[in-house]
Amino acid sequence: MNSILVVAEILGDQISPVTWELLAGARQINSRLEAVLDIQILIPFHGSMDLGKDLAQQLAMKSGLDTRVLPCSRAHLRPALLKILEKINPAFILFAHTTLGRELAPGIAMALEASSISGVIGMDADQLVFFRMVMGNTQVQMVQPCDDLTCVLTLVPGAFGADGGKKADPGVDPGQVVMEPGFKPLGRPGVVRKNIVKQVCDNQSLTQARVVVAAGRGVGEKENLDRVVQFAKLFPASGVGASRPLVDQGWISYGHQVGITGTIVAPDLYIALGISGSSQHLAGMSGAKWVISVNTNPHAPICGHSDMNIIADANEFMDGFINKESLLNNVI
Amino acid sequence: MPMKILVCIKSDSEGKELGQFEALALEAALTLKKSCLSAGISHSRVDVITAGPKESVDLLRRAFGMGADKGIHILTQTQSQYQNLVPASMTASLLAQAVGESAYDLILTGVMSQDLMAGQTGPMVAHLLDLHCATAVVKARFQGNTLVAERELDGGYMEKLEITLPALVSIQAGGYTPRYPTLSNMLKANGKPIVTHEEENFLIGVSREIFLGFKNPKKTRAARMVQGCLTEQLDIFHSFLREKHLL
Repeated sequence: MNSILVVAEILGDQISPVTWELLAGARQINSRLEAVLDIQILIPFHGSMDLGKDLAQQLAMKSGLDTRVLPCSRAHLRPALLKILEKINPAFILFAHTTLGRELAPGIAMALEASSISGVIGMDADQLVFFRMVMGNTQVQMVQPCDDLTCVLTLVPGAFGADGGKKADPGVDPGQVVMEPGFKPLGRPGVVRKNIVKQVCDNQSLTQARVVVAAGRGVGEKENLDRVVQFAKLFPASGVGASRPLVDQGWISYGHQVGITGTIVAPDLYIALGISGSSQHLAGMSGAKWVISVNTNPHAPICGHSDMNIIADANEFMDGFINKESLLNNVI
Repeated sequence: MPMKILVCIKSDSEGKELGQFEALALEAALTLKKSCLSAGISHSRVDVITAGPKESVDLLRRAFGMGADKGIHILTQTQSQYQNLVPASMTASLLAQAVGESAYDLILTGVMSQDLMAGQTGPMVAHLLDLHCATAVVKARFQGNTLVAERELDGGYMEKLEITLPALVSIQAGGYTPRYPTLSNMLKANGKPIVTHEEENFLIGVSREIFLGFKNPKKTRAARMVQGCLTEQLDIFHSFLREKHLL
């Protein structure tokens, strides 16, 4: 148990940016340990071996770390990983907190009788203590893996910095590239992965807006979205956004969804009406220049991520502002 | 062949209502059961299981009100060293032992719970029961001995899966809307069986993580609080907008 293994993610024919974040996470872990561990990279890969080798060489060169390519089909990721993990026997295994990472990590941890800590957003400055969100995204939980056990982690994209680990110190030799033997499956996979389709996302009104007015469950009913549209019109170059639950309920189309699973926006002003602030939503709007939240709950997760929190009912507030603006305009 | 479906449920972070994703998993199960009945497969059923203190039985009754058939309650003691959260591996171990030899065709969970927010229990139970596993499923239907499912990948992609049963699947939002309990189901609820297991009757797993407690999240912005009456709030809002040239 003398290594930290980073399970790389590949997007199409590129190394996914999250892989560099995992390397940054691995380095942070090392700095909290008494004895520094060897960081290694594993690329589970189902594409052509030439491409796999090429990607491995890129990673090994830029990071200075030994990189293995594990040829296996997407359907056999789990047994293939378990087999190679038995061989490598790392002390830490880092996955990205993506759909696949979240799906693979806990079962693998169970099989290895390892600690399993999912959704890591940071670490204590000195100790081997990991932070993750709990209680409806309102509290940070501090978790320590048990000594002497392997530790399986999923790291949230964006939490460990996009540049971390990207470039090795100049003069560091590139790591070795090892092509592992391909995984030979026994029988048909239990989960056959068929096609992947990109959801239609007509989000021009959001990406081009300088002011985004976004509605959440606090607006109450679908009919109140008319008021949101009216309110938004009072701002120049505005667009209407929504939190995920409204889109899931069919109140508004996916093109208006703000969040990691929708559209990431960075307007001059983001007005959140009745939005509590799930992690994926907050990540979608954190790039806004100014954020104003209108919410009845002063302890909602969004409050710490807003410049101004107006503690009020969203509909009453919108009505008040619409009336005020029409009065002002009449005076002029 | 009648389908036997099990739904793992728990409450939201307040402790009283069914969790958001748990309710979706239950809705998915009830929809699948109905499709079996429509296809002429009678005697399909939906069981619900929960691990928690005695109040958790209310969640099972809520599930009966929505249409579930049988409940399983693993009666647990609150562990203060975990701040009332339970490590996923321990819950998964209890659930797997309670399921034991019962041959469910499909086990459903929510994609994550509202309190622990880890999304681990489902895949861990799948490992312990040696079931095929798929997570973040938005919609699914039976097709012979498989479950054809659409599941959410990152970046706005949806993936189609064919999952051979028996399997465990976790449900993500977007395809189902939980139904309200019906009066007729609520009236029948008292007649529906609940099997209770004492936690001590199972092998208690040891936690492999140490929960050190909570702290407040760091603020990333000024978080100025504007309370008071609406007129004052509107004035402050208006001044802010003018100051930053946003109007």
